[in-house]
Amino acid sequence: MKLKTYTLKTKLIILYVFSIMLPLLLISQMILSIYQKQIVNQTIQLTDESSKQTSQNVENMLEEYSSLLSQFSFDDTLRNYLNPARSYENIEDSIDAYQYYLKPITYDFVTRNSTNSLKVYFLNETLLQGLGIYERVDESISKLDRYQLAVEHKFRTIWTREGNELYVSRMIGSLVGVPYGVVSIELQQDRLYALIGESNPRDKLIVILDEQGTVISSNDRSLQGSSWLGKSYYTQIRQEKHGMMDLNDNGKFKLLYRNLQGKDLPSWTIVTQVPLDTLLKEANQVRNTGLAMMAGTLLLSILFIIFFVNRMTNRIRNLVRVMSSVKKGTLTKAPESDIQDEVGMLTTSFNLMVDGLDNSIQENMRVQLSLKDAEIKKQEAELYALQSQINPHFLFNTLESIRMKLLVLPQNETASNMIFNLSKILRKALNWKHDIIPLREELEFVRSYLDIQKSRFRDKIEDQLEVEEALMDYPIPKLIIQPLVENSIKHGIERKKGRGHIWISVQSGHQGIEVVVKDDGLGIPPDRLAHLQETLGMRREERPERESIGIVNVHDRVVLHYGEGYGLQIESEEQLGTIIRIRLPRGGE
Amino acid sequence: MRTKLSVLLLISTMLMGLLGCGNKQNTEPDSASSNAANSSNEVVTIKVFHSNIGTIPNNVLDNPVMQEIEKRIGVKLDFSPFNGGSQEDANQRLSTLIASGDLPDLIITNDGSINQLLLKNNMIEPLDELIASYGTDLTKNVKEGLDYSKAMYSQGQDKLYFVPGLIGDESFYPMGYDLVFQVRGDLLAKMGKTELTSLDDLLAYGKEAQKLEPANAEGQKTYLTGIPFSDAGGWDYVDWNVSHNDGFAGVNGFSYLDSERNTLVPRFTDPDNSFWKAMKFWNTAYLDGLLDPESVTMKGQQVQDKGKALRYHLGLANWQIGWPNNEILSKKDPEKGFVPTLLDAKSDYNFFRFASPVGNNMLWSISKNSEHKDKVMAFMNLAASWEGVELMWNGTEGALWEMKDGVPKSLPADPDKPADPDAAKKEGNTYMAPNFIINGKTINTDKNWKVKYSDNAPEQYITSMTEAEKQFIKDHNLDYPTQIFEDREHYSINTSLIDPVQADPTSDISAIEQKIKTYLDTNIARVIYSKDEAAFTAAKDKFITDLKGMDIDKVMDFYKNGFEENKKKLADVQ
Repeated sequence: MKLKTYTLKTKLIILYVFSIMLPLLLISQMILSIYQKQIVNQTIQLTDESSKQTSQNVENMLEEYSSLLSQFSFDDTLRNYLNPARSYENIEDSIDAYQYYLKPITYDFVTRNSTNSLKVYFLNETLLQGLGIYERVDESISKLDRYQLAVEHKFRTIWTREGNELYVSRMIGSLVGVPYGVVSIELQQDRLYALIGESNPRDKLIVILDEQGTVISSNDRSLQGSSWLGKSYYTQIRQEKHGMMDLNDNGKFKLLYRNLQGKDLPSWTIVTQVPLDTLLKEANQVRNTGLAMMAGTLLLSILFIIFFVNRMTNRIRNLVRVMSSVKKGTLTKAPESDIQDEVGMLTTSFNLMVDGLDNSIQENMRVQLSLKDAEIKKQEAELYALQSQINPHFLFNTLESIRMKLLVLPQNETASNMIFNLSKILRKALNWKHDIIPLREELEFVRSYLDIQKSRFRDKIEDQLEVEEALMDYPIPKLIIQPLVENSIKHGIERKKGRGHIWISVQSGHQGIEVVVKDDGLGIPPDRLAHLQETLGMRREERPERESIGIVNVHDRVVLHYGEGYGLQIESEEQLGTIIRIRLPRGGE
Repeated sequence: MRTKLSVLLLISTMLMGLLGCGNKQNTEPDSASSNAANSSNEVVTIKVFHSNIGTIPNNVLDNPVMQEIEKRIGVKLDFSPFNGGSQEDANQRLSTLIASGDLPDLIITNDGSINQLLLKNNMIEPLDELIASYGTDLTKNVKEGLDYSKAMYSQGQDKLYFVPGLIGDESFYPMGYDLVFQVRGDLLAKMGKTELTSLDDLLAYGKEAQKLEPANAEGQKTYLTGIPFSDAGGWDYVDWNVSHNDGFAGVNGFSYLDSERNTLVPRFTDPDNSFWKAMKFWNTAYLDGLLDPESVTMKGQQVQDKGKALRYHLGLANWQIGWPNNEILSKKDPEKGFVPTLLDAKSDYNFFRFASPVGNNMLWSISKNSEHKDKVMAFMNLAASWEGVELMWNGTEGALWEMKDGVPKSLPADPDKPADPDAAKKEGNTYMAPNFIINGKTINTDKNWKVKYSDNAPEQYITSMTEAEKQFIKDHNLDYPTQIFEDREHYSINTSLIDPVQADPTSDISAIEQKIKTYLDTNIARVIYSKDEAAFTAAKDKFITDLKGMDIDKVMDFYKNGFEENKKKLADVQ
């Protein structure tokens, strides 16, 4: 199948699929793939930033402890009070020491820290222990790591883990390093945990390792106390200040690590482990959801397009179907809607065209019918005239008259005139080729006819013709006066006793030209006159067939030729005569 | 036209669908902005400050009682504002919180001056409307305490700002030696004695006891007892029991409330009263080597630690030496045990049991800044409801108690197993009762049973007694040890008329008061630690003279007048 044969609807849908749907799907797929990679990259980047921040926060917290420890460790007055050489044999001296210094310097710590984690171990033998803070070094204390290591490393900050507790300690002593005691603070593990505990270990596992590779805190509390020494990558993460690596250990992971840096800070490592599988799963979920949404939306859009194209092409199809039927001759209009787009306008225009065509055809038919009718009437008139002229009765009468004239010789002239007139009539009847003739010719025809009739009835008929000379060339349809004259003689004068007069006048007036044929014959009976007038007032198609063919034929031909408003008027009074008027336009055509 | 519009809409929807996924916005409701009045099912964590709380191991406790509270009213308690320490630590902490504008949601303190400060500076919320909305049990069960508080603590305003704790409490503890001396019954027996009757007897007991038991099981030296002089107000233990035997209660204004005469009398400046009788006793004890010399530098926690380690032979109150009987029971020690003793006690008027018919001076208030006032009030209402109070006293069903014959009763101790001293901590009720109880009444009037379920099974008291206590009740023909003083006509003192009297924190009286308190903190121990009788007498004279020089009489007068005025106010309330 070639593209040319596809319907407009198919073409539009193909256009939509190839120009919108497929590119959009392709672009979406590309965007979502890029987005998926971005998610992974950004998550790792964010995790790195977060790990850096966590590391910073841990450092800040530890520095806070270290700084607090320094305050105690380098406090000259405290050192003085704790000096083993100082005697507190008198108990009041101990009371004073606590009242004036040892107690006040711990206020701040006690107020800010909820647990009593500050310890000052002292070697002085006479100072009273007190406040739950100041404790004399006995055998058990001297064995504590936090004490031993602090004394061993002089004024260095020592970070120790004893059981599950973390301590930071520092020696208090003379400037030359003779120990007077050790100040120690237990780290609040809640604070440490608070820095890492917010994230879910399944999304992001965070562990803080001490220098022995033991987990000292983690957002997965079950890991606390476990050792990471055995991990293959342990050495690597301890070597660099910070970095990241890919890890395959029951799944894919990204491992980010940072080692704490600072003079008084412990050698701890903060490790963040991000499960890539989970991350990719989430990213895939995002992509699949995106694609599903896109497919759903496109499906919706294609349904919408099909619906829309259907609506549009249906209207075009309807128009084409109506056009075909018009082409076959059925003038049908296409159904119109209120949509005023191009198809709507085309439909409206087409319907207007069909309307116009219908009107033209109707008008044309009317004109054709009129012309046909006129032609028939003319032919009828001609035929009638011819029939009149050549009808046997007329001929017999004329010839009988001639014969009688010929019998009486003195009348041979009359007979000769009759023959002459008959021949003129016959000649005219036979030779009139044109429908329109000058008034003169019609009058000549009337004259010949009258003369024949006058010869026939001797002096029974008297006529009078009054015609303006200027009107003699006035063109008129042929045979419109002669039938009237014939009618006057035949129905008015012939059967009248005595002489009859016929007046024929053609005059020009304001309203046109008026031809009047008047007689003083028997007139028309009223009922017949009324019928005749009614017939003349009717339209031709309403009239009964072959009604008063003579007068009505004349009337019809005048109307057909000049239009409504022209034609015949009859006035008659019984025993007095009849007047027939023909109104014609001034111009003649 | 309609079609055109619908087409446009459809196109817009599709475009939004196509483009919308690139602009994802968080449409979740802002949970953080929930209105305070919105009392929904959402679990809310409220920050709590209690000035007299025992040591709290974590800021937010996870135990059955806390879980039940959360389940019932959707409230988690966060103790981070203060999780244990002395009264002095508590006051410092609360002052810091006030100064930093970081007041907890719920504030419970007996420091009258801080409470006045909170009210005066418009830092706490009037509670009337909250109670009307969320505190039906408060008005149902402890209305008298609320009315009393409005009359006494609201400084003339017709609003309620504070709800007192333990309203209607009679503090009945069969083995609770809170206001009486307690000595080792087993040592007494070894000495061939069944009881002590005087302070001199006590000194003799101390000396004898040190001989019998010079060190504890760990080899640490023993003493008669220790007093935490390093705590502000730690000296309160000095005359704690002596004054109670005499029918006096130490109250505000450096005075005693004389229960017999219902009036205030000088505590520190009367050279012949209970205080100086006690001071002389402790000086002698010190000189005899009976008083722990480290008392002067110890805080309450250290004294408790030593008490638990059985380094002391005398207790001034159960909590002072860390409830040593619990330790003894947990170790299933077959003989040791502390028993109460009434030394030189008056026969008619004593102070051996707390009573607070209209509540104690531990006042509850809600911070104006709290975003969860409704939830705080829900918790306060729980603390006033029978169900809440019984949960706080007894824990959850099945752990420490069971329903028996339609009455909740404590589970009897298993005689074959050592008692778990931390059982109440594990259950969580010990952190709640009595500190977080508002309705202190002992009988649930709805159910007609005692709110402390152990009291519904008095026959089981004995299962929680040490061998020494068992011997004690046997020797004295008692059902339980504290019954020893119940035959007396007056053995409790109600301090509710003097507790509300507080000097304006900005007044001269308050300034004098603070100065004298500091003097007491630093000098009482010094007098006790006098080297001999002459030095003691001199120190005593100087002490009294110094106090008078500091206008202690003005302060005493102020409180005495306040007390008398409150008597009239109380008459009006009634």
